[in-house]
Amino acid sequence: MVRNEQFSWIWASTLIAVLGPYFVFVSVVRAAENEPTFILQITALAAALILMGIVAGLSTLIFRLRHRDGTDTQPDERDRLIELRSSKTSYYILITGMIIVGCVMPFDASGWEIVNTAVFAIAVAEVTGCLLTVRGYRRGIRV
Amino acid sequence: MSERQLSNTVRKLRFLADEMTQESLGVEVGVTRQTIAAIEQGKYSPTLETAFRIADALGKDLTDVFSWS
Repeated sequence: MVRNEQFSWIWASTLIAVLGPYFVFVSVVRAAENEPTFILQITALAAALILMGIVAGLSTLIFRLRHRDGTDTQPDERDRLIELRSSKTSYYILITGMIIVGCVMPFDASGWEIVNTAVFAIAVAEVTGCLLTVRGYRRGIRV
Repeated sequence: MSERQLSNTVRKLRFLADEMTQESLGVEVGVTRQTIAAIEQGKYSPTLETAFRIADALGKDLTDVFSWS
């Protein structure tokens, strides 16, 4: 398994494992209290982002240590093609999310609703990009 | 558009070339071992430049290595 594929697996799993519970937590609190306090929201979001940062940092460090000799670290034409395809789809999802967040939601949503929708759009775009990267390596890709 | 698939004899020619490994062919061509494996399995069609490099590394013409199936 190449580095990009491994990293995509880890990143997609981390996003689902960390942001999944975050969104469930936010939904439950919102349903119970109608509007969660600022401190509660910012703490939950900060905890999720810090956890994701730690996983990303640790996996990058582990990959660097495992591939110290430089093999399999330089992307070749296949890696670049897979990256191009997955990031293109990811970009369209992200831009759709940002249009909703920036052009539609400000008229009828509260501040944290907009923030959480933006985070959700970023997460969906990232997970889709990672899964398409994995699919590209697993099932092959054609020009 | 044609539905024909591009096939290759990289695996066979590697063994005929003194059992050259995917790793050493990859180094010679400038791609990773995994990309050579993907080409052999038909999961990736290389660029024209890489296809020429592979044929060159195996000491064959392009059409001896890649053909329509």
